[in-house]
Amino acid sequence: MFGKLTLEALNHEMSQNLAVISMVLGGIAMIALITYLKRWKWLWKEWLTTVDPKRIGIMYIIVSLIMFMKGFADALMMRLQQALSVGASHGFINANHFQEVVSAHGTTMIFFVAMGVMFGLLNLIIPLQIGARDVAFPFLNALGFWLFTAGGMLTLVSLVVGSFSATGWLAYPPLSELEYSPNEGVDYWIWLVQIAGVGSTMSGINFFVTILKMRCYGMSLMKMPIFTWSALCAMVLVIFAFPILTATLALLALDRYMGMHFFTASHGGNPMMYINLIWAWGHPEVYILMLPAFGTFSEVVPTFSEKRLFGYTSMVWALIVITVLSFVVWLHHFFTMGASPNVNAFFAIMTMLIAIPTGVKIFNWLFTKFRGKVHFDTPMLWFFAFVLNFTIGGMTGILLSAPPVDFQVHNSLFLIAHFHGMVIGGVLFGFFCAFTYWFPKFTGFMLNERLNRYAFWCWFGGFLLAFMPLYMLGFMGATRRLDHYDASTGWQPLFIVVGVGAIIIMIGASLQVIGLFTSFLDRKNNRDGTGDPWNGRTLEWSIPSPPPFYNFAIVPTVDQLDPLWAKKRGKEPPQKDYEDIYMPKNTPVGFLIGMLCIVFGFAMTWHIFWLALICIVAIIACLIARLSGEDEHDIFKAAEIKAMDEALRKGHKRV
Amino acid sequence: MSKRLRDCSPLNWATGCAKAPGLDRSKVAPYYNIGALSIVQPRELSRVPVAQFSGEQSLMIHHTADPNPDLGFPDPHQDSFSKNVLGFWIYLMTDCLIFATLFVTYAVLHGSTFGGPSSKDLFELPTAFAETMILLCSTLTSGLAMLAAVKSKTKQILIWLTLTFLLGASFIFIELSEFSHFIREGHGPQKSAFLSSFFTLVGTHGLHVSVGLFWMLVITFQLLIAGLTPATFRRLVIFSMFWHFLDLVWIFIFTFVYLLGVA
Repeated sequence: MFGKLTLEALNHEMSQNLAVISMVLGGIAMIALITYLKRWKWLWKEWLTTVDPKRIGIMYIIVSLIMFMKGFADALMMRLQQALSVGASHGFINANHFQEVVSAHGTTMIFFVAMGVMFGLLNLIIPLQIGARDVAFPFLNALGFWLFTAGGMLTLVSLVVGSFSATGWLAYPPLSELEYSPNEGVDYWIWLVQIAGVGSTMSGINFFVTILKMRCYGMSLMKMPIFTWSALCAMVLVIFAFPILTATLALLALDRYMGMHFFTASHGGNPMMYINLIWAWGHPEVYILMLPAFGTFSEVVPTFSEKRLFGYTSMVWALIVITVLSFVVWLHHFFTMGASPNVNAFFAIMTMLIAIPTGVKIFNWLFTKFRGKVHFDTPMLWFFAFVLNFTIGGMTGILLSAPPVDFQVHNSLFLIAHFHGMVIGGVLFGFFCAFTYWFPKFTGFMLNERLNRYAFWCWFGGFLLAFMPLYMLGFMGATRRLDHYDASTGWQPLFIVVGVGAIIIMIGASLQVIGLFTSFLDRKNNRDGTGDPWNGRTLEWSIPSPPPFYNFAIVPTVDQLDPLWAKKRGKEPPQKDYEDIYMPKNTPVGFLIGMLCIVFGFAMTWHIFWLALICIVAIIACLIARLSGEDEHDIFKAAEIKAMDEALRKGHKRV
Repeated sequence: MSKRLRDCSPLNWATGCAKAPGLDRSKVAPYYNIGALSIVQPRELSRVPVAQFSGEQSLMIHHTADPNPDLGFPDPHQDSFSKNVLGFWIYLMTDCLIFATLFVTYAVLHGSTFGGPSSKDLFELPTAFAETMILLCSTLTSGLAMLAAVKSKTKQILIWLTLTFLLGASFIFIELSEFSHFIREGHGPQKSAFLSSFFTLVGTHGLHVSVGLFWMLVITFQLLIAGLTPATFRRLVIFSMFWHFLDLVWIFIFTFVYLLGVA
């Protein structure tokens, strides 16, 4: 009846029990709060059933922040364990649980934090930047979000019921095969990544078509804001890369559930094929996260330098070259596989080539600032920290791309330091930059600048403390996923420094949360009345903050890059008149399918196949019901929109 | 859905007219541009007078077609038909990548028979050839169903769809009997890496065909209940793209798995 599920699944180590208890209490507190504020109906009508990309974007970011707390707690546990677990002392986590924590940290941070903030940003910014009222497929977009959330929730479920995968964030076989990992951990991992991955493919298709089909009048491809360009390139990568992940995970699942032999060590299976396939997705994935961060900086630097972006065309081509090259470098993740020197040399050269377009971008940003009026607001601070960290990470990346060096530092902490430099120094700092920059657009008030600056310095210093020693430790031979080491290695002092760095980062993150709350409480005083607090250049700043549900009362006509900047200088092409607007109605189907997917993933993990079958049938029924119906729209008359728009603009200082 | 929106829909789809200043739309048969395929608009649906769509009647979600579209610029009044079709093309490409991954897996594991039978020992060309012919015929009948849809002949659509369904179902039947034959002889997917990859590649295609069969049933019911409306026509177009795609994938399976497998 309940497959492999027994009460034993609730039996955990102390540290995990604490996490479970705090999570359950947090959940209860949240439910109580919503009930106390009588917000259930509001939650359902305004948020859970919405198809408005602005709201979906905000929900993406909220889910990502929740998952970030989990991923960050994992990181702190690891660092604490490594600072303590020397010689005779064995720390507070046993070896197996430590591997689970490592795997959960990587999975959470990549799939549910980085991907989440990336799609959140796209949902928020893309329609506004291209002058559209909506995305191409609002329902598909909502469904993509709910599948992403379902994957994230399944991660949290795995914390409570049973154990997580202990095979690293990419579950390399043969370790992840049934023979060596017989428990439910890898199954959890397979289904939660699979569900979120399918959601990402859907969102990828949606944004690709949105950008190609829904730009406003006159916005040709080369007049598109650079962030939109970076998103377009990232979506091309999503469309090409995620199906590979879907297929690969399905094959691993077939091995585990049906006894097939794709990646097993026996019966002719080929484990290295899994590693090739997973990195054929995994390397483009790095750029899926990185490109929107590049795009963010390319928006922020011109705005805070009061100068147009230096070398727009070369920026676009750099993005395209990175997109193409990112598909021919995957083997550099496993030079030690034993491919011939010629194969390794090819991938080494391709990897080094990526440094060229990336260098073009860095220099373009620097030249944009050259002789500009540079304002040192927080978004710009994140940019400076990014340039430093990304350059260090990039240089060590060049080192790693040379096979002889890679053989020495493969799977060492040197590698960990390198890719955290890229993911924290690049993606996360890029997201923080975007968050402070676009925050007033969607909330109508500014973030507390002072607390943000403190948070920035904590993150910046904490990051250097937490990751620079890892380069040294890597050279000294410390490998990744190390839960215990000998005192004679002399690594402990460095590990303690790393732990201190992690704590400083934690202080920074707490300051950000406090800053968020104080800014919210103080929102009357730091209201953004203009809709354009940073003296912006692109279309999203031409409408009130927060944007009305229809985004643009009149779909803009543009004739050059930086249309708002041109408008401020009196160069605006003639605009259209008000018109009737059709907006899609809310639907609960996306939410329902997401919830069903959680149950489905859980049922498959525990081999409760009847329940999984019920979920599948219900999902299909939901889809047929939704797709057979006529598209439902709300209609707003031109006069109505005109009245709303004029009232909104009256409340704003700048018309 | 408002009445006006429903009325507007047919012409909303018309897209891909070349840039032609001063073109009188009423004299040119609007057509649907489905990538490489251009399909003439259903006669019945084109009875709505053209004049009704001119002027500033723009729909931002279901956009009206611009009478003189300038394709040099992106058109915010892109209609939902062309968005759907492009989106479905992209979906097909992602599906194509899934099949590409499975083909690659099959190519790598083809020789890993682990002492079990190889492709030469197992495959019988006559069966595979019969499957190919059946699927090709079903593509033809699904194409004929589309032609009937363009002429707004609902009864003909249903006949051709039924034929397509029967052909597709017999394809699945043959495939399943081939599979069960292999398994009964002890050559199941658990036997070797080669057989795992064979069953997965061909089985994934079979799963897609089964989904297509189910989809056909749903469309048939929609046609029976709602008749040929803009929405059902659009779904028929998209289904037919899916069915053609499956045929194309099968051609590759026939070539790389069966023809090269027995060579």
